[in-house]
Amino acid sequence: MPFELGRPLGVPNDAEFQKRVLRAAFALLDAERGPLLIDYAEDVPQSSSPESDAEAMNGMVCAVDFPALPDATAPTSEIGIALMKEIAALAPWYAVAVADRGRTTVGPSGLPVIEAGKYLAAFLENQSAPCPRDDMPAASVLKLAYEDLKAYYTEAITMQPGFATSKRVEDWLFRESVLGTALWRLRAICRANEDQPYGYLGRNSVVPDRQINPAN
Amino acid sequence: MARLEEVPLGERRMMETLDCTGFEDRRPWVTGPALNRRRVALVSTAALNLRSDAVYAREETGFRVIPGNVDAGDVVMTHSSVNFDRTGFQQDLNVCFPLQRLHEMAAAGEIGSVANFHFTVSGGRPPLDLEDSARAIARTMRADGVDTVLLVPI
Repeated sequence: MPFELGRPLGVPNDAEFQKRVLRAAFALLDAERGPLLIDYAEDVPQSSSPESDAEAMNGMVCAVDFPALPDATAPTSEIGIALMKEIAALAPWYAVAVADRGRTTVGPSGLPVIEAGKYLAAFLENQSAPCPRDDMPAASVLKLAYEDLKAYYTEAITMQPGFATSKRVEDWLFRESVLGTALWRLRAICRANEDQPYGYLGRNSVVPDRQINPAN
Repeated sequence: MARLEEVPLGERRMMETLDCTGFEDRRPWVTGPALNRRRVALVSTAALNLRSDAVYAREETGFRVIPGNVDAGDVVMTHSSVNFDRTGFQQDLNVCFPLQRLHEMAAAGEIGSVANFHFTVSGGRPPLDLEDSARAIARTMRADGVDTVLLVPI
């Protein structure tokens, strides 16, 4: 398939495109012998280029910028405070995304997004910070928490103009957002920790390879 | 399956060196009924699970069940890899788990029917590590009358 990893049916919300992929796959059942390795010829439509994404973003900001909430458990670190503000600023876009799609993929951590952010911020300051769940290893909770944050961010941002490609979304997340800064910092902390499973997270499961080595 | 040149270097190396031996004496080629009489099930490697089910642990070789009448809002993804796009899945479950498409094709008479149960695993493990899960999945599919499985790698 000429599609990127993560999109085996090619194009989200394009039922006819997806059915053409399925029909091509089912057509293989008619072959009289195999195994077969058939290249699928139809590529995804080029709805937007990274350049046009960037142009579309000129002058755009999130619609709402909430002040810090009066919260006794709120992070006090600079990055923690910034993360809380960023999470709040994305809330209206996330609400639009959920309403538009009728679903969200946020939630496997079992933590409200703001609590997931607090845990990430706390971990960046103190790797012995109390884990908000006691029914699974802290590293697993941490992983689920930052994956929920990523899902919250990317569901929200893809509702905005200028984010038509997954690469543009990923670049924004890891190069422009506070969460991205936090995740790069988390990666460094985990990589310095040789103990499993934090070492594994740092080496393999925080920042995508193509952000670390763009040439690859 | 994505083209190898589109796969990040780390995953590419893993795929290129993945041990896929042990299947030499199997008979992979079978025939079946016409497509409009087939009962189809999905198997995804995307580590999808119901919200009410356990999340996937790293390097887990178990499986999860996705009912054929599932609400897309009840399906989440807990794969450990960060090296594939999830924004497509966030916008439309069908881009990696085309259950709604199958129901539409069944309603249109293109396929016979859609299985009552579908399955997911977490990809990236050596294939033989998944044998127990594969056999358990196959038993359920047989009981469900499934004769066609669409393997959907993430």
